[in-house]
Amino acid sequence: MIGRLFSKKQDHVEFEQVAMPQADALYGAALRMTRNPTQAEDLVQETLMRAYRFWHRFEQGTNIKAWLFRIQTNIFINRYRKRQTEQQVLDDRQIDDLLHRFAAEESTFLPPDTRDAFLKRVVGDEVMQALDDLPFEFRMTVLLADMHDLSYKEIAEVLDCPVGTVMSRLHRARKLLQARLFEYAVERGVIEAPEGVTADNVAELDAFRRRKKRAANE
Amino acid sequence: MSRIDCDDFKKFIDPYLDGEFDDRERADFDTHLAECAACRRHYEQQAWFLRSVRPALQRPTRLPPGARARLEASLRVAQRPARARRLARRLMIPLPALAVAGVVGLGVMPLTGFKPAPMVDDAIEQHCADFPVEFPSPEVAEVDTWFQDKVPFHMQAPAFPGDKVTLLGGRLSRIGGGEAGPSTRPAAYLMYSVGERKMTVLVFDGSDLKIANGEALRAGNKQVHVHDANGYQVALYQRGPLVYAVTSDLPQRDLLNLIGESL
Ligand SMILES: [Zn+2]
Repeated sequence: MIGRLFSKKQDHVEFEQVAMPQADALYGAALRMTRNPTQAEDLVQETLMRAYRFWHRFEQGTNIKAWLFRIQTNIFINRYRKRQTEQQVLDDRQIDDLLHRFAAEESTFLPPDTRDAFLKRVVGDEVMQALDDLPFEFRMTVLLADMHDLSYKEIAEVLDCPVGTVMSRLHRARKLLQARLFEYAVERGVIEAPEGVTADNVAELDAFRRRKKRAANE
Repeated sequence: MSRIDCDDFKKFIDPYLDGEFDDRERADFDTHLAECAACRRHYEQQAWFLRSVRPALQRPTRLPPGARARLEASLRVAQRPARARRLARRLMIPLPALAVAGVVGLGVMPLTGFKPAPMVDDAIEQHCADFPVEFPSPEVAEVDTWFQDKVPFHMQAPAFPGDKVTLLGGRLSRIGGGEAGPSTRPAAYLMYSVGERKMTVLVFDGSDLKIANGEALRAGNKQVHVHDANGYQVALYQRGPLVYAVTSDLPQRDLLNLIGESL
């Protein structure tokens, strides 16, 4: 009994030393997952409490971040995501449009003399905004890879998907992120719109699709 | 001579940039990069993009002080000895609602309209048999520890959040069949109560198995294969080397929700 109490106490100390320092990182991730500060706080609270209950399952020497992110992702998917009103995420059509507009690598090539302007005028809060606009799976992959430097294998474990899926998602997600930032850059006159597809063309395309849809409904 | 072409290079540029390749793969890409100006330009652009964007993504965020204080308070509460033990003792009264009457014998009846899957049959049989638990405890950690030197695998009992599901305890068991034949393998048998109903879980080493039969469904993050037999649902899923066979007479949706939320 004494031994057990002692080990409980040890566990507690270990948890404080190993898991608790990740609270800020978990909160940062929770903000990107929920896009809502109150929900993000709740999510972190629930994640760390569950981690505490299952502390005996954490394998010392493995990546604590990956373990905690996995718990947090599980809770998020099962609890929050269901009742969350998905706000302002790019839908499939917008994604296709974006990828289509910036499909050719030339269209996302920044001439070296525009790079400074791009960094100064586009790379700031816009990056987070662009990330928040991505669909959940893409957002999570970028978050784990580029915000938290997890390996593909660790990401696969967090998101419970094959490593190949991580790779293809990351590829598409980074492309989308880039395309989104290039849109900002075009809007702000840092670079010119990729040839052939101007903002006007896209507007026309939208109008055309709306007309078609109306016709189909009549 | 380089073994990859420009399409490969572009397609796999992310793992290359992220240092995910082994030395040999990396060497192929290095070679192509040295030989191909177009890919060099593309690579340089992508590397520059990631270098520029990452600092913006990695700006630190702080958990607000109020939230941190709440978290620390919850941890102090959690540190106190659990009251759960008392609850467990109360729950150890055999579950009358499970009225063995209607169920007995069903497990050994031929399950009509059900493709014989020995493991599934066995799971239902054990579910219906209403074996007593050898080690009563509501604590997943305690049950895991109890199984530690009794089963030849690293036991991880599924834990269900919230208070819908209560762990009653575990017993040592075996599970029969598998595609290979009638051989049996050691298994951990767990019993839970879900409201008035019972749910049993058999956990065993299935690193040599591929779960394929049954209806493939998603439960949260998990890929689950569900067998429906005479009012029972048996949901099989794999977690690392372990296979979990969850049996109950809950509606399928409820069962999948529970499995989805489980850890
Ligand atoms: Zn090339």
